[in-house]
Amino acid sequence: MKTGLGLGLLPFVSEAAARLQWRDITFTGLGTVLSIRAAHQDVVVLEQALQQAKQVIARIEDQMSLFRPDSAIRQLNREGVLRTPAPDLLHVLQRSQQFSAQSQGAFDITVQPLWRVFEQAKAHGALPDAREVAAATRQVGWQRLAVDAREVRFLTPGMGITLNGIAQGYAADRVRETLKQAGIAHALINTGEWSSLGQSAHAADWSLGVADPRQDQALLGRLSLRGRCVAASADALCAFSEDRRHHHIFDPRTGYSPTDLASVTVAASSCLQADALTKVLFVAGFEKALVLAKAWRVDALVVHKSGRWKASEGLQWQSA
Amino acid sequence: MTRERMVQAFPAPLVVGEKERDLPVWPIFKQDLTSTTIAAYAFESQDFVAIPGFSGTPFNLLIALDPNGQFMDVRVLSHHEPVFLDGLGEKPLLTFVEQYKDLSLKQSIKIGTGQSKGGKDGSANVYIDGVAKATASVRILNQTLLAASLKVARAKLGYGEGRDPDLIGRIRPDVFKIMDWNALLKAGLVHRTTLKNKEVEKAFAGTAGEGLDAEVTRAPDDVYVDLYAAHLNVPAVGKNLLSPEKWDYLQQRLDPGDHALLVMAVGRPALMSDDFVRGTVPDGFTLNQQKLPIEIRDLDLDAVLKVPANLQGAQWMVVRVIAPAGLDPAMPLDFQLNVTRIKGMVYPERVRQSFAFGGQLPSDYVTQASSDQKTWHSIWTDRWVELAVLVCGLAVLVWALREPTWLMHHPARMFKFRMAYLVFTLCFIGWYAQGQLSIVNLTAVVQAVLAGRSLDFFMYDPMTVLLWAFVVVTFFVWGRGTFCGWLCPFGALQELVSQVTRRLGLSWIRVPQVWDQRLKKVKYVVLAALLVSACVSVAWTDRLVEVEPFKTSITLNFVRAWPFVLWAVALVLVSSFFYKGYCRYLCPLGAGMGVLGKLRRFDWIARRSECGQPCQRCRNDCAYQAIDKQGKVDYDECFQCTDCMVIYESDSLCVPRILAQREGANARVIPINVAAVGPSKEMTS
Repeated sequence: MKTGLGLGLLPFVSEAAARLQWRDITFTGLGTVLSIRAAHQDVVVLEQALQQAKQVIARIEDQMSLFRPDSAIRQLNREGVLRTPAPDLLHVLQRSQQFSAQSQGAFDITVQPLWRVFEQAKAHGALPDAREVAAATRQVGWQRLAVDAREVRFLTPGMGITLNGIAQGYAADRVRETLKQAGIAHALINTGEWSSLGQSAHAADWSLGVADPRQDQALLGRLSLRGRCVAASADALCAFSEDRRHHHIFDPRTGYSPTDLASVTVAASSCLQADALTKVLFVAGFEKALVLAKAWRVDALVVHKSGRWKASEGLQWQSA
Repeated sequence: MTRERMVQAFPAPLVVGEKERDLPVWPIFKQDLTSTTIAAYAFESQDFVAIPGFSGTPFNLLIALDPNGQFMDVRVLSHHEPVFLDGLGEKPLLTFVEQYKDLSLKQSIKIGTGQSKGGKDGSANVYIDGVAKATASVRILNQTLLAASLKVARAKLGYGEGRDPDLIGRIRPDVFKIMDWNALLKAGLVHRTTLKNKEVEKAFAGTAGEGLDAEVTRAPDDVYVDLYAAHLNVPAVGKNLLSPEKWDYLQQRLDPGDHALLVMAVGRPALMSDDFVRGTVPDGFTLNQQKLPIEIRDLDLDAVLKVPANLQGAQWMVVRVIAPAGLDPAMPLDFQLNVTRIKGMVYPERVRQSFAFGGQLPSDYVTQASSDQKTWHSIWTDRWVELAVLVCGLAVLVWALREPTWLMHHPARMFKFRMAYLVFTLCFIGWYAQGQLSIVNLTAVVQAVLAGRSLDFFMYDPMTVLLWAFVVVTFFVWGRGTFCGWLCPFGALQELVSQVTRRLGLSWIRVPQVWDQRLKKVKYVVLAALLVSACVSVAWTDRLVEVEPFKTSITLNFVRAWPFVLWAVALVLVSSFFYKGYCRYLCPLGAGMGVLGKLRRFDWIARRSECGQPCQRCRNDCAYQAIDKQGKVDYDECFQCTDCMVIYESDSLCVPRILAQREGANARVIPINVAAVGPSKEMTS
């Protein structure tokens, strides 16, 4: 549920690249708008690869989407137990638990009860009161989510999980893999998070525009992908209050949204990691975020609610 | 729609997305600098609703609905409305749908009727212009558009967001009667559903859950659970079950438009699981309406219900349905009780089955969704003046056909009456009220029945319904002639024109009997061809029905492409020399009426023994050539012009009577002048 990145185009076209056939597909899924731009000399191969990519997304949705009433995790949230989770889901859950352990709980997929109380209050145009938030916070805790190949189970009642903070990143990785296997050399993948293969239609490195979280239709700068994946989270989407103080990213320890950051962009070798780490850095806050990014060996751009920003040195970043 | 056609319909900078997985809906995206967002959902109406159009075949519309419920675009992909096919042409239709652009599904869109328009700006109602002569067609279009859009809106724009509040009934706050639990059950205000053990077991048969419940297997005929459901916010329910304080408290808790529903269960299955959190979505049961899920949430109402002693210990829950969910109290509540069975201890396998319960609130307790023009009801009230005039006109006709002396004994008066009535038929029924019955009505029935669609669409055209109802009755009494001779506007037009040509001194040409007999069969061939084509091809039927000049002459006043006008004018001209030639020889509707006229129960045209042998007076006078040499009336061809009946009653026209009179008179006085004997057409019409 985050965007903030757009497609950057450069006006040079090389002859080699010109022979490639480019296709764009745009569709909805995982609660967002997804798009894939890919190229191949053979249109048939290209179309097939794109269809395969769509199927990959559909399978991930069936497992991990909260937007589909019949998805596996909706079933888990309903019944508290899910037997023999599918391999994809198991992988994402296990990776999630690893991030939780390594980030000392800053990343936590069991924050869903918090989302529920905020969403419920929002339906009546209000914020939940402190008692409700405290009660929901007590139901959050990655240690009380038991994950193994046989079953996934909540150890205490009332728990719930969301993979909205990691499934899009995982989807980008899987689509990239699928396209590569299908013989696609050049592609830009947007599943809410971004991943790429090869070069753009202008035979240049893929580059993304990063939106200014405080100004509609304005760019903060440009980011070159250089084969890496980029994930971003911002307070602007799914805000529970007008001032964006309360939004869809929760600090699992307080039950409220982190207070000082407006957006976090992470570039990493895996989109799943990049996606999860945006939450970790969000919770860490403006001061500590880049230090933490370095420890995780990723690059990041963090924007403070005041509009100040800073980027780590390794980020291929050009401010506007 | 193929992707190519969608791209054509929504060109760049819009981006046509990939068709959705769950619904036949295409997302249309717009790109701006930093993001791609959904501009609209585009879909074809035929994938969601099939309301037959006036020809019996539904419209297919391409609708683009933006995420706020506004129409971004509405186009007609296909239609078979006779009036827009080479009739008014498609332009008025296209102009009509243009009006939807930027209107919102949340508004109550009404089709203005001219009189009711104006001065309504800024209200929740939006008026759009209808199309004259196509009122029924555009209403069916409107209905199609809204029904399809509501379905997409509910699925894609979040629950109920796009639901038009006008389409939802309201609970009447004023209906209240003191009732106890049993009276409520009897009144249908509390719905009871009893599930037997064996029914539950049957549902699990063949699954892993089969035979797992020993209690159920032991006593198959025992009751598994008694389920009760009720609209608690209906005063007659809530005030009778809750204390006054709790009723007031409930009112406070509910926002306008919210519903509180009571669900009670007596039996073993749990309405809520052990770890159910109060105030959340219940896990033991769900609610649907019109196959769409409705979100319910525990209202956490703490109260003592006034129920009989045996129900005191029952488990119950009051759930809230918020107003935007669009629960319609006038529609049934479809609750589902979920029963889960678990097989195995270590790695349990869960099997879930659902059992329906609930019911519909009696109609006295709800105000139906009214005042909207989305259904046909309002069109009847809107046109009550026309309908009243028509009813009066039909009453006059019934009186005239019952052979009143006042008319039958006065040939000149009868002639004037008949001419006056034909002017009424042509001008009022035909041109003004657009009540020309047509073969299209018959082919539409065939097409709708074959496609398994309802015939409701006729109700959008009250004139047609009323006329058909009357005509069907006349089949039994008088036969086909009542319609063909009196109520068909095109027939009236032909007759009036041929009267004019006669006044100009031109005479009619009588077709030789042999040819007349042959030609009269042609119309049955035309009818058969049309009915076959209606079964086979919608497109061919659209073309073939053009044999009928009614649309050109009556619906469109001859303002139409020239080949159609030429055809209609030619038919009128031909019939001014060959009296009512179209009706007698070609008209497929007339043929249909002739067949249905076989239902006639009476030979109601009086005859004498002298008729036919030797007297040929009426036969010679019958412009329809519907009396044979033996003097027998061929009712299949009789248009009930009453000429022969007037002759029959007249001492000066009916030869046997003249002769009889002469004989009688001879006995007394020798007349100076003998009345003219022989064919006289002065009084024919």
